[in-house]
Amino acid sequence: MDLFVRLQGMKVLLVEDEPLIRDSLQRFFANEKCTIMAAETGEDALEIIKGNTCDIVIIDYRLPGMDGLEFLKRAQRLNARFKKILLTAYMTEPVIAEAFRLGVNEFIEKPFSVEDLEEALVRILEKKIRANGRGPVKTVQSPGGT
Amino acid sequence: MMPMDTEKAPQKVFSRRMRKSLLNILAFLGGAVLLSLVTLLYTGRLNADFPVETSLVLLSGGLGGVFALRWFLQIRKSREREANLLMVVRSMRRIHLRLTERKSRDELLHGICRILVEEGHYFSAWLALIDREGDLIRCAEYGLGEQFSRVRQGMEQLTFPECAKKALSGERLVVSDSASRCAGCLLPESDAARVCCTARLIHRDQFYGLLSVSFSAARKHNLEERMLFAEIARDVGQTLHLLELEEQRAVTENRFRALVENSLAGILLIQDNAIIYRNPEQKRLFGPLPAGFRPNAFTGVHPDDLEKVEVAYGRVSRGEAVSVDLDFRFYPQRKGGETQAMKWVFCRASRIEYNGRETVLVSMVDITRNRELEQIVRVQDKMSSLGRVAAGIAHEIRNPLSGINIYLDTLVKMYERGTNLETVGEILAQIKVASGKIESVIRRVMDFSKPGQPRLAMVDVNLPVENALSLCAAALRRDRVELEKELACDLPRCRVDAGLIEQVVLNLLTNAAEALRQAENKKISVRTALEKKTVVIRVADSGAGIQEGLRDKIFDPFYTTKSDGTGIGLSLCQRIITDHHGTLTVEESAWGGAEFVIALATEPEQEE
Repeated sequence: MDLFVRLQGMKVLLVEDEPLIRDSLQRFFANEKCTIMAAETGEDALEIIKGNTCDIVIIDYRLPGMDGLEFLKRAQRLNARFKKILLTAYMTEPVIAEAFRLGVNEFIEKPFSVEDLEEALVRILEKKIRANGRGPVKTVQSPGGT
Repeated sequence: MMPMDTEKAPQKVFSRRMRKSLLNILAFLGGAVLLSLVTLLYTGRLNADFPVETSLVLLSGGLGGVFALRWFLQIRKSREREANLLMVVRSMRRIHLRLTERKSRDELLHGICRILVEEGHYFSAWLALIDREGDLIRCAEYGLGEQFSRVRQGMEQLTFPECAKKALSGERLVVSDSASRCAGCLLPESDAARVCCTARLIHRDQFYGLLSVSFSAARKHNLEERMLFAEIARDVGQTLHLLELEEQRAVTENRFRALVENSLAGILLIQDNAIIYRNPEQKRLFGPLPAGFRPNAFTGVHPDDLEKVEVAYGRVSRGEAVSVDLDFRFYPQRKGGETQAMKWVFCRASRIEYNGRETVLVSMVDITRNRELEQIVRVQDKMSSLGRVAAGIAHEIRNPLSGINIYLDTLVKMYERGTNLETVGEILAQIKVASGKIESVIRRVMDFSKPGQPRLAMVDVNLPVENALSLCAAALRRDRVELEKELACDLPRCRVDAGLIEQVVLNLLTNAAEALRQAENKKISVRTALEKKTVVIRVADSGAGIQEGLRDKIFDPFYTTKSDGTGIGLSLCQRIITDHHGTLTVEESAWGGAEFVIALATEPEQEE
């Protein structure tokens, strides 16, 4: 099935302080008839996941205030479950190690294009399907996901 | 006074008195006879009887004879004394001349003996230098030849001749004739016509050794002769003292010369604007100097350093300063006139007295290598700071670049499908914004790595501060920031680039305004003042302030806590102030916020 058709039923949250990336991705997804939520800071994003269940969170590593990994740690404490894509402009070993520990599913290095994001999303959704094939996955509640 | 030949003294004195009386009687008789004859010739007759007249003539004639004898002897004596004095003067003059020739010790001692024989009436002379322990240091002779080597060997083994032994034991003058000669006497046994006279050489209670001469036995009892020799011995003692002083002076001078010649610093002496001395290191540093070189022409000094070198040299040579330190660049000269690679020296010019005249002493150290290393360190520091900030730059550029990529992908899809075309304009505008952002990051990085040289002028710093305030006044009013302004009047002028100072103050004001965005109590104060000879500009805010641990870090390039910051502003500010030889620091303001302090020297040493 087409990626975007599947995504239409999912809640995707983008956490990115760069307005140009927020704007461009929102416009791109809108063009594909999907909506994504966007937050400027980790603090804002935490508020959002408290009130909503998200399926996928695309988060920038470098953020003002709490950084991307700190956000993931706090989200873990809130027992929030979602697929994680980490955006970084400058990857270092400790960051990657910490990200793995926090269960990050995909890394995307900046500068990135839509193609990079699409590939990452496809891989995440495929895993999800395979997981579904073996048994019910708790987090999958979206009706459009299957 | 002269305790020689004590047992023979009475006999000698007696015979001398006898001789004197006899001479007087003879003179008296001769005079009486002579006057009587003269009277006879004059009157033509001699009274047969013995009247009073005749007796008077005889008496006065006798007395006249005695006086004539006395007068004659006196003249002879004074002639002799004159000749002796002349001999002493001549000998000593020659000996002193010898001393100034700075010959070796042996040559000088031999010279003294030779002069005594040549100028005086001595047959031979020998001289021995003896130390405090009584050991022979060295000796010399003239007129003795082979005979002396035997005595020399004896003295080396501490066997001195009898006369020398007596003199060593304290007698000032020992006279020995053929009768009192010892077995080890220098004079040939057959030669009875000579006596030798030995004296201690002393100057100001310092014992130097012995001087011995031989002269005619006929003069043995001549008091004048002995006094003369004692005089000569005293003078030779003084000469030896001078020789010792001269040797000590030469040792000291050699020591200092060795220090100066081997000094790591180039040393130069200037008297009356002419170079009178250069040590080897100075010659190596500056290379050969052309004939008629004038120090105040400052040949080879780098044009940019010429002024300060002239000022420093002028101050020292005019006596306005005792000593001046400075560093400067110059091009060493070569023989062919071609110039060598530029060198840096650190130099100290001091006013000293040398050989009794005002002299400028210039000592300098080659710091070319240090300067090169400093340059390398500076470049490396820049490179490593660039490495540290690579993450910052990457973020700054990759974010807008990602935006452009995504916009382009969106545009491609829109174009393929022909849908949503009404938003294309908006997307293109956003792409322009993104590329503009990248451009601005690059420009700021370039500005950081190559800030232009400040164009310095004497300026009242209140001016750029006012300019910066007027630029952001509207923005501050809009943000409802309360501005306190307290600019000191009659501030001394500073040598600054007003445009750059304005840029720094504006940057600090913008930072302060941003720090107040979330604050309830919005206050900014700008103050200028003169504190300890520096002009200080303070920009304070009532924001959250800067944690103590971050106060150094905020000046690091690309360090930022702002979401839209580049981390370049403050580091550039600090760079500008450092270029002005000032400082930019941060403290806590009276309101608990941040207070940035710019300190500028009022008479800055703007060297570069």
